Amino acid sequence: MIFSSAAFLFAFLPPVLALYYLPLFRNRPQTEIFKKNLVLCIASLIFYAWGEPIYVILMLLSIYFNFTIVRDMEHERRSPRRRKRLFIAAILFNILVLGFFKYFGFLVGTVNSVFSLHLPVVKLALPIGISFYTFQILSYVIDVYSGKCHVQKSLLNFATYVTMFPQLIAGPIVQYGDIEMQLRARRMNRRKFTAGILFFARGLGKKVIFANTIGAVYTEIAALDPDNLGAVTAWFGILCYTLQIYFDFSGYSDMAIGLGKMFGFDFVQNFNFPYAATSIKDFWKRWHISLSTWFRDYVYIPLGGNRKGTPRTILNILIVWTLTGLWHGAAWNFVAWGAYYGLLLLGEKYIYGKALEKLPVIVRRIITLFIVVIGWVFFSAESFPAAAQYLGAMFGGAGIFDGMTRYYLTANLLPFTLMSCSALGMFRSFPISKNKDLRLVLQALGYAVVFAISVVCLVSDSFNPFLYFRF
Amino acid sequence: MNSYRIKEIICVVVLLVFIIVLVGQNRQSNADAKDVFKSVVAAVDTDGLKVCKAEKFKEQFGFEKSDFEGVYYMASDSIMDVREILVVRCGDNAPADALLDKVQSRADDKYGLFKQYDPTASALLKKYVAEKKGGFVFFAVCDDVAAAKRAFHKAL
Repeated sequence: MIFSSAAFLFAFLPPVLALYYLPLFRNRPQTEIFKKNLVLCIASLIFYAWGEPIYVILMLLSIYFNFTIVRDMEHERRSPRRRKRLFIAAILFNILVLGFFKYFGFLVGTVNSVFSLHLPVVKLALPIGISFYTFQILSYVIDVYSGKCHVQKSLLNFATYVTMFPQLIAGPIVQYGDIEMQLRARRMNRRKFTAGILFFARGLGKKVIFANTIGAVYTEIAALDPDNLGAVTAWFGILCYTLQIYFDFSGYSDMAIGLGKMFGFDFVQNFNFPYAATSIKDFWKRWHISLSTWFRDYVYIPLGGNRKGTPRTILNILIVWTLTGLWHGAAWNFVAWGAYYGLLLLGEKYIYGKALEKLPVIVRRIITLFIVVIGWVFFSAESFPAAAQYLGAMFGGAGIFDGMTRYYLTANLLPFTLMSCSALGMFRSFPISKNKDLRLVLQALGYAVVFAISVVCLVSDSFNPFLYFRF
Repeated sequence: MNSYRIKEIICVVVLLVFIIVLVGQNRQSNADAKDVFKSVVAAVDTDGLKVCKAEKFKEQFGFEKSDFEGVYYMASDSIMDVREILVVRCGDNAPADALLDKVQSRADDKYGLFKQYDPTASALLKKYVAEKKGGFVFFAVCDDVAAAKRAFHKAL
């Protein structure tokens, strides 16, 4: 099930919220929170099973195994050796499960092509959200082992943490330490609920009105023959994708954060106008923040970060960014995309970072955006050769213009310009009114209109999954 | 052995069984599409049917033959003869699910058309077989679909 569907908005969410807020145990807060977590956990399993009934088994097994092994780890706290062994077993279990379902086919395919073998390739559907929930589980295992968090004694609370439907499928990746307290007690009030609705409506609008509209333009251009694609059309196409992926993913994150608030949770911010970044380092502080934070906290720092000298820092950065690329997909173009950012970050850190800082902000923004857009070519392409072919078209391989250039530019210029301004944060400080009450009323009315338009688009649109679902 | 350890082992065993069953259901066949097609054709009555070219496949299902590793399609020239057999070896990145959806919706639509005036044709269309297995998409509308299906499974 996806958030931007009529089934979710009108058949799933209202009854879940009604059950969640049904005051059955008003005088017993502990029982009430137990009931709320139970409702949330069951609703999340139904949400997941809607599209992937078979993989609910995998998720439940993963939850139970990790819950048990971490309790076992705590049980063995007087024996550091056994505790460490259990910790390694837990990490291996999660990595092997993720590796098998996500990377096994890719690995066998690579071995077959390198050694000209014909090993049988097992093609399994990727369990939706596996990369996200595995990372959340790993965060729990590592945080408890390192003493940052306490062991979770309630299986229900742990299952609620892993399965929570607002962020189960595509994040933000919630670290256990950020949510530990909220699983036991959380503040729920009208103000937070209203803020949640506004977040959700904004996210829905970003996805349905912006991302789907501009995504349709990219789909058309990407389907054209790259050998006959003019440079201007190719650039326009990839710029449309640049906007699509931002509105799609940040829209999903806004909806997830909004839903979290409706259920009393506070999730971390996942986007902060990334296309207004002034360097690649800055970009990754603004784009998919929860993923870069996860890799920093659980891979980069444990590897030694920048504390073990320059060669080791370089190696650590390359490892982290290759893994970031691989996390996004089991294909060489994703590895290239990750390595591309690794090298750029190294360049900024050791070669041209200081010179870059001396340039005017606007120039730094343009350079960063240019680099990011080139990166999206690798990300959006189906394969590495396809990315190379598209890049060739962008740099004039088939001439500057083609027969469709003028049509695409004139037909989409207005929505493209509006969306670009929005993505760059130009409407952030738009002066609505100085009167606070009036501002709130206007804001609520604005989001109500956005919600209504989104619903109309949803009814007429066909299936429109989020881009990040495939990770 | 403490109780935690037993639970952990049970989890791992159940997970392994789950994976084995899942892999078993999704195993890719190495069979050649032509051989599979021949086996199916040998198992059913194909009088009046003939092997079609890529254009006919495109016309009927809307896909290019080149999107797949191997396409074998057999149908009649007569529009009143609804019998047809399709064996497709999909290969990497082939739109297998989309083809299966198309095949099913097309058969359902045809059933809707024929049920008004041709009980024999509609009976055949009602019991069509369409499935995706071992990297193949198989579709058959014929007198003995059970035999066709058996032959398909055996040939994989």
